[in-house]
Amino acid sequence: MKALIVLVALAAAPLLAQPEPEDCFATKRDAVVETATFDGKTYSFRKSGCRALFESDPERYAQLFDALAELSAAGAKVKVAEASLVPS
Amino acid sequence: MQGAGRAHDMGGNDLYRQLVIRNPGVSLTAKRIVVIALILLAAPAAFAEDRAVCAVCGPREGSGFEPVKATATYKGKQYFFCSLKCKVEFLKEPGAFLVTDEGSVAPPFTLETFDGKAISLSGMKGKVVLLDFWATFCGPCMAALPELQSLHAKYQQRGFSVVGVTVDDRPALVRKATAKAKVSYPILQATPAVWNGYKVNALPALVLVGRDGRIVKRYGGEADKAAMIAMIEKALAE
Repeated sequence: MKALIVLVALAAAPLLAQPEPEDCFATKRDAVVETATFDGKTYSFRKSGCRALFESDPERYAQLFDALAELSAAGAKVKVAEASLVPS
Repeated sequence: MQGAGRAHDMGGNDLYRQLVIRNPGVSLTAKRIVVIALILLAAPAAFAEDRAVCAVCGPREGSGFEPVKATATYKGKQYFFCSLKCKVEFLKEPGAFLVTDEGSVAPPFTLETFDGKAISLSGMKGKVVLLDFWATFCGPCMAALPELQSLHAKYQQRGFSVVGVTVDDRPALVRKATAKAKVSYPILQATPAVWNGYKVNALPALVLVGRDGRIVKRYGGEADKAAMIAMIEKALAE
């Protein structure tokens, strides 16, 4: 029984884990898995679980995804290595 | 991490001054070796510093000031950033940037005014002090100057003082701004140790210190003036 609980927990873990905003951000080339709308604007995500993340605090995440879109448009890598998170 | 990074960097600069600038007799090759060694030593610290000051628009050692490149609204307050990446970092985890240290002892400091007069926090013990970390390039900070002056004037006789701590290194602009707002409270020049000690990672930042020298309340972004006045009244009554 214990082994079964552990197995279920292990299987469910990836589903329960909240994705990182950078993992959610969908560029024009990415397949859109989920969407959310805030203040009349639709936000597209490339992973499941991202809509739930966005809807946990839409005002904050709308600004975050707008900023990520701006960075992406400026040619910056949105999903970056830890080291390159250093502000320029 | 933040403080350690800066301390390391400043140590490197001091070493550079002692070993390179003040030793004209040292050969050029030896100077170059020292400089390269210092760069290699300082690199991780500088890196850490940049990460740590991500949300800071003002205090970044060396440059003196940085223009506001992005703003964000969080829980009804506006915050200012020196880069879009800083804004992203903040919005990913605002709690990491919005410090709560109420009740803890306010870090002691002795800072100088632009006229060279030293003022220490310990010298104001028994008073209620509102520390205003500000800069001339921070719009809301500038807008708050007349209001802070009126608070200072209103409560001064009851043992209250506003103390401006500017992260701006342009005395002419600071003098012009404070003259325009008719500021009569002291304006001190911040140092990295002080803004690190007070965990200032966004401007404006206001810290209310009680008569016992402990932090009563910290205000970030645009403070709720009525709530702040109520808190000052409460601190003065204690």
